[in-house]
Amino acid sequence: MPQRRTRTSWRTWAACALLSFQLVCIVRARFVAARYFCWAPYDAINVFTLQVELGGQRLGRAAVDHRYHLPRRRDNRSIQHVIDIVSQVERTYGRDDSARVRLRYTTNGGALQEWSWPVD
Amino acid sequence: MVMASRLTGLLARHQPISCRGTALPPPVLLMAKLLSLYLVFRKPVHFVPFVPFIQPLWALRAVPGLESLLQAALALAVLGLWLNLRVRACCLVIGGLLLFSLLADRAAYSNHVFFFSCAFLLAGLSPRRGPPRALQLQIALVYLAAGINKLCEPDWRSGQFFAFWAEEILAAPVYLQLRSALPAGWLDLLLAWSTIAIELLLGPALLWSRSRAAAILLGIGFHASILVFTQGILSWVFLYALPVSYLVFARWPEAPPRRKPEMPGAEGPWWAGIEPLIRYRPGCYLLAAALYIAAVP
Repeated sequence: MPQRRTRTSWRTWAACALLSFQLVCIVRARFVAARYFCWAPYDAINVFTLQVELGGQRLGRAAVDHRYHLPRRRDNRSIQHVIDIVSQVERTYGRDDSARVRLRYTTNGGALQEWSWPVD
Repeated sequence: MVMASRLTGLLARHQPISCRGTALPPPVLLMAKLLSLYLVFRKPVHFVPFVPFIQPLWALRAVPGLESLLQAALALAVLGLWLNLRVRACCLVIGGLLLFSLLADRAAYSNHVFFFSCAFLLAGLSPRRGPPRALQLQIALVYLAAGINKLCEPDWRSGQFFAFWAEEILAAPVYLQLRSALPAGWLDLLLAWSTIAIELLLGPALLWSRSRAAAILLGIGFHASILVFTQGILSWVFLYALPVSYLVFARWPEAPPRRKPEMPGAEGPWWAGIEPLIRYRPGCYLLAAALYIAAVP
């Protein structure tokens, strides 16, 4: 008597999809700077400062925190996360502000590096 | 009489401490309840999109009362979970809402929320009987990925990460004293490579039944040592969440074992009757969890 093939339930497919998504992110992390969804807590200590100018006026610390929802000046995964947040805010909410942003950071106490918006 | 017994049965099935007789295996339901406890009292999440990973989510900012609506949905799902009502659906709702909160705002991205989200989603997708393999794989994957990520970082391999973190950020006194007593760089390399080795080892060790007990002890010790090393800064949430998730590796008996009546003249260790009760009574875990959550600064 031929054996009945059991169908894989949708739950199994969904669980496999979630785990596969993470595997893709883990592999992707080898090729990009960002560390989203790949289980990389405390891969790097990035200490940074943010200078933001709107219309020639420099924003204070509280205003910068509020603008980017970044209350801390340290990121423990990747500085790319901070860059992504600043870029996205300036492309969307701050589209008409013509803000000039200067991000200065060190990674694990290394050399001082800089990133700015608009990107040259 | 019949009504009274029905009512008693209903109350027994839906009491928060009970983890039996639902669509989820008892250890999975217990894990979900314990994680939801921490989520509600220590790590509230928010749902209004800010800088989303998925651009179309940005349009949801205009939805009036979105935050209140989703908070209410979360609260209802947690309540349903605790009352053993549609536990699978509740886990999926909680996990889905947590995932939404992550995708809606990359500024709020955090590994612990992602872990909670995956744990709830996979709990909701786990089979009624048999080991929850996907959940077990998830926990192993967390450690394995963390180890691989660190192994691929030059600053971790050289010990530079530890040297900077322990001295400049933490100013850990024990570390500073030990470092001065050892040749330059040795302590940084030792701590870095032992962390990498433990994380790479924990994943497979948890999956293999023969090493599982030792792996669970190692995992708890690992997370506790991080908390001690960082003088209480890291990581209260992972010291809670990951050991709680180890419950999914437990084989829960069909019925909790009963204490055998003592035979006259029989002698045995004083804890012999207590140990199985502690292991298989969810109330003990819930009490321990409540005490831990209350103690977290």
